[in-house]
Amino acid sequence: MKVSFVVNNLGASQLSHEIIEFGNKITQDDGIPLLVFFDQMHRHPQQILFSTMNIVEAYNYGGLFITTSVDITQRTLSFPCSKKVLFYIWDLEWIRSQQPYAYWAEIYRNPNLKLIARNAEYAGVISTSFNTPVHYVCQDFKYESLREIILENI
Amino acid sequence: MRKIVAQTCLDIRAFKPYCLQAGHTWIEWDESHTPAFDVFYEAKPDLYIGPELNRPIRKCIEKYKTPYLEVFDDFTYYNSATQSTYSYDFLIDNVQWYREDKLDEFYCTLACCNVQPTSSIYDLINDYHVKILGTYAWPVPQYIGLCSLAQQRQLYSSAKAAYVQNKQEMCKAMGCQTPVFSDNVELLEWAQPLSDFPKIFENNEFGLLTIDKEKVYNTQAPQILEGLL
Repeated sequence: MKVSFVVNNLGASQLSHEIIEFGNKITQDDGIPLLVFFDQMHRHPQQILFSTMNIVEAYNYGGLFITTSVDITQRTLSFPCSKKVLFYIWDLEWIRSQQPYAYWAEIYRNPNLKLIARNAEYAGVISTSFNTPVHYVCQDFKYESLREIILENI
Repeated sequence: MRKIVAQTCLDIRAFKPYCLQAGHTWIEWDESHTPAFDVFYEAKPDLYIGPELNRPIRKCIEKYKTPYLEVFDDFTYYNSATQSTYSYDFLIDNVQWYREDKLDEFYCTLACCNVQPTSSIYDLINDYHVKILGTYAWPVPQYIGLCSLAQQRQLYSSAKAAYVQNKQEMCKAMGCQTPVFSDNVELLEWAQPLSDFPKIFENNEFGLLTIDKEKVYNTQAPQILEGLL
């Protein structure tokens, strides 16, 4: 049972806090070995009870990936061993960035990806903007619902 | 069969389908790459179509006695054969802008492309399925980035209606046979006299004027090119 998050960094942010909280709980309570791959090395804002590695190590990792941003998702999909990738949409990134439509559509409309929206409002916006279904809604890394999603896809 | 040299300029390609259909040879020319003297020497055209004549082109036209059609930025055309000026609008580039099959990817109620944010359209965003693309970055989630010409054509073809603010976008949407919304009164007044295909009526639901287009073809081309071919 291999589960991993892929993030830009684990520095002080709401996203990192939620991932660390979730990771600590799933590692301790369920005994599921969690890995977090990061792109940039940052100081952790709180104690972590799971392994962290640089994203280069994910190249040959054959487990389930949960990505949290578009650029990281793009990189993860290019890994040869990435069989199952879930994209947790924490942020509606296209609002603040003037990238071509094709850049966003390549990820949000990718048939090899399953999308998890942060809340129902996000799910609605994503599905109407890109005319694509959002597979799951998980309110801010809520433990029970994300655990269920992981177990379903593992 | 005549040889036509056409210099790349505003809406010049609108004449292309008509000329090709009539069996003429269409030579597209970019002045920034090839000098006028070379093109006229090599092609010896029977007709020149292009923007306002500059000195080298005028000299070539005089030397080879080539009839010409001048295309001005304000949608007026000077025909050297009839020595008259036409001011036809809606010369839609049917080569670039045509109706495609609807794509699920771009399906929406209202398509906005290359339009500036206005208060009238903001009211519609939450009530309808709106897609916004193009160069103006709207601070709303419905804005999904820059798009290519092909994507814009697909967007217009897949949308139920298009919201436009200028002549250029209106012609593009009409080329894709999409009904056009606008709150630009000047634009609608500009479209009003050409009531052959656009019919303008009030749409009270949105507080916008709607142009319902029945057919869009470059019907003016034969009249503008009268006596030249």
